[in-house]
Amino acid sequence: MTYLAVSHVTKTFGGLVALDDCSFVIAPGRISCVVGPNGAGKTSIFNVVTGFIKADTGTVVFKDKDVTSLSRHDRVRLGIARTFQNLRLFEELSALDNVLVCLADEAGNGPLAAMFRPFHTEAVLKRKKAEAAALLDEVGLGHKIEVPAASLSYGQKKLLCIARVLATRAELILLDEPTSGLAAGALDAMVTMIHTLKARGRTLLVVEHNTRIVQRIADDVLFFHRGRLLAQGSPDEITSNEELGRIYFGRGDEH
Amino acid sequence: MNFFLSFVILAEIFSIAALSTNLLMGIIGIFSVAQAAIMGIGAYTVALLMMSGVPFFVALLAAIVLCAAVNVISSLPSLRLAGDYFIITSFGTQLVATAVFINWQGLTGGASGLFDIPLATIGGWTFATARQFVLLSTLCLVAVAGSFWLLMRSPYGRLLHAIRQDEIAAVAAGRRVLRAKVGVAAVSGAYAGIAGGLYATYISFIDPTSFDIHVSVLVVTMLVVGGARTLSGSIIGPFLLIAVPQLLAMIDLPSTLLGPMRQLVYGLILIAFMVWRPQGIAGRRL
Amino acid sequence: MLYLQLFVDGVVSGCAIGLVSISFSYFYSVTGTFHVAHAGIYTLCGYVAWALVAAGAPFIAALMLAVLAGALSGYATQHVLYQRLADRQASPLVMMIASIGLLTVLQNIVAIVFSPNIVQFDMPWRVGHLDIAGVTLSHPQALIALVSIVIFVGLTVFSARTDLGKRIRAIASNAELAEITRLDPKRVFAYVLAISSAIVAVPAVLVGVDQAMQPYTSLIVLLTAVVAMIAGGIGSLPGAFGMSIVLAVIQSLSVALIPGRWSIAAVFGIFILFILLKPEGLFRRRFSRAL
Repeated sequence: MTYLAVSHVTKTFGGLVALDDCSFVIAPGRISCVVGPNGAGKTSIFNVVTGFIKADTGTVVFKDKDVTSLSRHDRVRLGIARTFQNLRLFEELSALDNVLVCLADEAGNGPLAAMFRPFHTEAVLKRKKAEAAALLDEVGLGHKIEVPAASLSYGQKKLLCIARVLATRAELILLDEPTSGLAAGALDAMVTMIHTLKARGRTLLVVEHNTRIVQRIADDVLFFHRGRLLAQGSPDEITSNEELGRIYFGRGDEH
Repeated sequence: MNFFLSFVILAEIFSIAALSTNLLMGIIGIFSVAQAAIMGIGAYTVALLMMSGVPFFVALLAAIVLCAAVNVISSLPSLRLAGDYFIITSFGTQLVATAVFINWQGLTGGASGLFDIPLATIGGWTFATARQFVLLSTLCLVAVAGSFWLLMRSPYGRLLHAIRQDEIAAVAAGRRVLRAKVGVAAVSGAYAGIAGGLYATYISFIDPTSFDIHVSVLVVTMLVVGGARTLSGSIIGPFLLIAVPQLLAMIDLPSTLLGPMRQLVYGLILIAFMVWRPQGIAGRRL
Repeated sequence: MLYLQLFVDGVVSGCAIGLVSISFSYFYSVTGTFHVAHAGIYTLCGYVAWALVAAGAPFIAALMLAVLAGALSGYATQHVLYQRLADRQASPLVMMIASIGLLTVLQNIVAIVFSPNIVQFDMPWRVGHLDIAGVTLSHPQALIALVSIVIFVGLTVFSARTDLGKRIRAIASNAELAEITRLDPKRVFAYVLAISSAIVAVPAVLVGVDQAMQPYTSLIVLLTAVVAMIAGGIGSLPGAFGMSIVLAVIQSLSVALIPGRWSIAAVFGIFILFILLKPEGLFRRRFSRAL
């Protein structure tokens, strides 16, 4: 079975090539880090896999199903979910509601039941609240249930993003820079969280800048440069490759 | 007493219209200055059906269904497209609806409107006097307000708030955003249909000016004054603003200036609230 | 011959709408404020000129004073209302509602101070006309066509060629660039609305002279102008002006097929077609202002 296969994906914006004939396969149950200098196409590949941009050519296959032309929400239902670099929390909603809105369970998400079957809806709401609260507990935000997302610390906001993506019950999770901007303590918590997700059987694709973090979490590394996938291999293979090292560090990138 | 009761009835009818606008502008964030047009479609539907012998209850149901459909269709471009397009769609819907009310004379009676709309009767009860009608309008407002409260409390209501704040994040969570928006537009249209049906049977006379752009702006003013997003705001606003004409009646004005003067006051109130209190009396910041 | 006459009438009224369109577009593309009250300033300027003429002022003086009144009310609108809202981080929705409030206030001030009824300019020359190749052009119509083209060219040249015009466009394209232009955006926005409002006074007065005026009809004119702006591509002055003429010609010719009172429905229908088929407009590729 092919778990995730991206084949010959090309994407241009105007005259700019964001992705140039990228092909790779991801095996289930592993953590793959997407690395490369700024503008390498890391976020673009995320957008193609999750359907947020349409590739000019190429296909995306998930669990033997061609998802290339599937809508974004249908991909989430199939089990591909993502976080955003700029978080995109529902700032005015409580932490609990942020998670509740993302639960895979569609019950209670229509107007008719809400208006005409109030007792049923109330039961659904109660069930969903419990489910969301359990997820917040899992990421260590059990004590912040009623707090509006806007008042959480940056580290807590990032954990809330993880709880939201867990709520979708997706098995392939794409994390866009989950550790950026975190202080040491929050950073360790996030790394532990990522390992926990793997232990729970999730497959992870992670955009990560920090090579030390890559060493700590990655089973595989995908190295992108100028829209091309230059190399795919174990963290050791990639870091010992001098050519890639020159591209990554020689450009005066932040690490 | 009758004077006071008719004030209450009108305020209740406009509370229902304000809740309709609240769902679009406050909750999901779709700009709307066309709710009077939708209300007008409800009013004309109820009036025409009742004048051809259809019972009030059936006519009102038909108006609810029709208004829900029209509201969905008229907001459909806005549901699919971001940007300032829906400002035009909304103004356009209002102006086109008014043109239809005026020009489709065979059906709507043109500029002179429809007279002698039959009284509302349900199962032998006739709502003729203000004292009787206030029961009906209160009942309807309670039903609409109750459904609004239930909607907001449900998972669906939380989803609507989420969509307003970050539509892309809602999509990324696997939510069918378009379906959710169509749903809220339909409910909003249904509310407007109820308001229109009540208005037609209470006043027993409707014409195009009863549902023109000024009325839509008035409903927006009511919403903004009371405060968007909350249930109480949509009830406080209409009760305050329906009182304005009564207060103006105490000043001695030539009758030709009464209308413009009332509009002027509404406009000033609108600006004042936007500058000094955009959250209204009991709402959230728009 | 009838069609030629309708065509010419359409071009002329398209020129007038074109001025409304480019003046709205200029302010909108610089500030992003959806200035519905533009229709209110239009009404105000028309009635100012009418009242001055009724009081015995020469027409040219009345027109100039109406333009001045437009400029002043535009400057005041930005300075007193929009800037204050922007300082308080008002959302576009709040700006828009305030603008609707201002529109209501302006229209009704006109109705109270001047007249809520339909009024006409009391000037004998307005009924005179030219006959060119079987087509009749009233004097006001000829004036509209001439003046509109001059103003359109003037604004386009000002925006594209002059130093100040270029710096204003720099502010529009990028707020951070504003630093480099050494212009204070607050003052620039007020000047831009003053210019826009001065321009919109011209079609307000001239169309009023050609036909008649009523305080509450200007919103339909503005809606048509905004539809033209969108169809022409937001930010493109030639697009807005050209599409105004196209729309007005279609409107004028459609009278032969459907009764004129449905023309607002026709304009709106064209708009729906555009947003379904070509939402970015004819002359521009990108539009991303979100409310």
